[in-house]
Amino acid sequence: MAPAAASITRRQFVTGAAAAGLLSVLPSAHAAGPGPMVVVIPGEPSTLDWQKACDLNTHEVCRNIFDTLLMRDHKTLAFKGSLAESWRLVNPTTWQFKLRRGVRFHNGEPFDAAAVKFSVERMLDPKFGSSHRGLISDIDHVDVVDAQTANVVTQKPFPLLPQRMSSGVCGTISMVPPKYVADTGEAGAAAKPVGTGPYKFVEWVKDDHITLEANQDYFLGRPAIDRVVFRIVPELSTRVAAFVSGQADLVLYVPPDQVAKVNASGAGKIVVSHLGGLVIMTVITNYLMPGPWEDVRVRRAINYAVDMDTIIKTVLGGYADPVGMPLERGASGFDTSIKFPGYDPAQAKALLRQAGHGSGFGMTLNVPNHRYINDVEVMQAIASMLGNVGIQANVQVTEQSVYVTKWAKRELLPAYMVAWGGGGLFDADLLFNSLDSHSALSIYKNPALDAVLEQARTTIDTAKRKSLYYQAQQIVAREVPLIKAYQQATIFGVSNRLAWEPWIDGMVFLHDARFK
Amino acid sequence: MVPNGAVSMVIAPPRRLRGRHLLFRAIRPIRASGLVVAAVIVCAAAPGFVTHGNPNAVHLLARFAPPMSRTPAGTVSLLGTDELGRDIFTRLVYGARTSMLIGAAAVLFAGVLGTGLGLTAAIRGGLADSVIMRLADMQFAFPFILLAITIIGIFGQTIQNVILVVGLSNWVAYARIVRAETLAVRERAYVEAARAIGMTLTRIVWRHVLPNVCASLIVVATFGMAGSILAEAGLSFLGLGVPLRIPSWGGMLADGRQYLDTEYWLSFFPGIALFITVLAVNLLGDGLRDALDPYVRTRKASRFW
Repeated sequence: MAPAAASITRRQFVTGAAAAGLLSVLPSAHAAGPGPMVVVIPGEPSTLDWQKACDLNTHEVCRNIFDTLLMRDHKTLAFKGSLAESWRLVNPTTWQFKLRRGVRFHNGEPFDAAAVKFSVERMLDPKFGSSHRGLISDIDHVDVVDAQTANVVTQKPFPLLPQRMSSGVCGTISMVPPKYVADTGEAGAAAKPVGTGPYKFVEWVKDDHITLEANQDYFLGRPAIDRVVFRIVPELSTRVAAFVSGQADLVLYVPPDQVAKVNASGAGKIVVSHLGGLVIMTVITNYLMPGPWEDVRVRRAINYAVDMDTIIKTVLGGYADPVGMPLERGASGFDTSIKFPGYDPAQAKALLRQAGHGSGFGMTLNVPNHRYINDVEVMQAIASMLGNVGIQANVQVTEQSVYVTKWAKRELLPAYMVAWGGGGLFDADLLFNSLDSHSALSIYKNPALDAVLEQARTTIDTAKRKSLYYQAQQIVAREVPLIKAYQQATIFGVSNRLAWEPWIDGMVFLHDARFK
Repeated sequence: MVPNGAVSMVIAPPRRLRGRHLLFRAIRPIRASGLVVAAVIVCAAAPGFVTHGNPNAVHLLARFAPPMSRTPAGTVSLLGTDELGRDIFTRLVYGARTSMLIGAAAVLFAGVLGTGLGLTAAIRGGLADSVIMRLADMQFAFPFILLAITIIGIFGQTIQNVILVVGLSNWVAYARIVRAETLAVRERAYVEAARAIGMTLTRIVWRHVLPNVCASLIVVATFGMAGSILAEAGLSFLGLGVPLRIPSWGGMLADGRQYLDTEYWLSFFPGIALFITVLAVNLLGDGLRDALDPYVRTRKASRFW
């Protein structure tokens, strides 16, 4: 007997269900927008609370969510107001900031002097444990004069306050909403950040991506791009491949060897920023480990032996600036007329003989495992050049996390590669962190240099500061406690549909990014 | 990593294999792979004889020269140069020394350690036996890379530590074979007789146990050598292997990885070298096992290699 036509057979039911299921996962057709802008970053931010951490990945994302009181002019590097309209020095230890009116945080909270007080003092609190704290500890407290005026009081004259109030990487004071932070607590603020910036936080899928959307009420004007997705791709070749295949609009920190590939792919173009890159130096100790390097003639010989220009031209593809002095190009106080020893292997050998080391000696050069662009290759090239004058240099590569720990404990002796600067400091004060013996991380001791650097730290008068830093640079060029420094250029890959230029400090600020 | 052939040898009846007998039966099946291994050993023992170059000589202006191209110095680079202008062929030859040295040393270390522990376990029995066998199980279960990271991280990155790490991950096979054989031999009538006339334990082990396990151990050692070469390459690839100034095939693979689609020769040639060497050593082990294992020998006709 034939089955009743009205009832559905099991086969028909299953087929129907499968078809329905299939249809439901197909994307529904709607008017397609240009899609979000995709930025590939090399690692997961440690937190999205910009006040807490200053690792580069946190910075790239948070730079677009939060604002600072000041910023640098796009063309001249001079300071101008951001969240603040103006500022002035009331007395050597008090800076008064007049705040912009009508600015609100993403959650609607008003931005005012109380928010400034809360934000600054939160970062100064030792219990909060901010990584920026060491660089801003000269600030004592903030006084609220009225809703639009805040006085920042420092413990002693602090000439770097404008730098700290504008967006660098470490030592940046960003503004957070007091009520929101107090209500959600530290963990909440770290996972769901709220700021005043051009982009608002949408979601953070760990190890995968972070999504931001445009802040329609941004005080500098609404961003042109609606959504930005930061995709976390740890592997360098995968990042470049994602850009080349058109999956990413912006790829950061392209190594020089990949530039040709990116240009040839037709997916976009290479944009280079020569300002604001890291200054890479190999510091040499003169007191923490006994050895020939304690003699200044040996250190000068080491510098004469290294042909940094060729290393930059070959290993770094020309994408670096041979500054010599461990300062950034454009740093206030940087006197480029003061020169480091050039490339002269004969002079190097002569100096070594004078110092009694004509037959050479051995030394260890510490380098991290690909923390900086082509760092291992650069160090190997340096080692081979030292070998040409009789110094047996042993290149010791250490895993990044171990390297950072040993660096903090000053165990990377007698010489190690490190990067300072970048991220908008542009000040000769950089010398303090790397070479002043009172800096927790320095392995070099020179009382004359210490005196000059520390005096400059508390001198507000610009002319006096410049002359002090001139003296400091002369000491450094004479005593050469490092192998010639170079400043990396920051190389970005920008896709064809994106119109964007890096901010003047080489950082990724997306406010004026737009699709063509 | 105990190959099946070796296990089958343990349950075979004990046989005394005299020296020349062993050699005669080993030579025939291992011609081609033996030649390859011999070539690698020559490179390892006398690299200066094979090539005149310096594996660590940096020539920044001759970076990434393709294979068979003329370098600025006027010479022809056989296999090209790497990211620092070092000659790939020269580094390949000196890298053979690293692979062979570490492979052999690690196997020696594992063999001595494993044999010693196996003998102890079998002879002492009881608690010692249990402890050693549980250690063996733990060693089997412990991931190799984790062990490497721990030891290299704590004790530093030196050749000795690399040999230690690779050897430590290999001793179990030797221990098990020696222990099994010793336990079997211990029960034999002639051993009882030997003990009755006052033969010391050492002499019994030397005369009755070791000759019987010799063949199995050699086979396991050969396969272990192949594994050790690969393990060292893997460690160097990850940055946990030999220090930078010593050329290593694994290290060369790692260096060339980011240039794979443009300057392929940095990784391609060390990869080929590793592949051929490990294959040859494995086939050598295969051939040795065929020559030495009485069961297999009677079943199979002699093969080309």
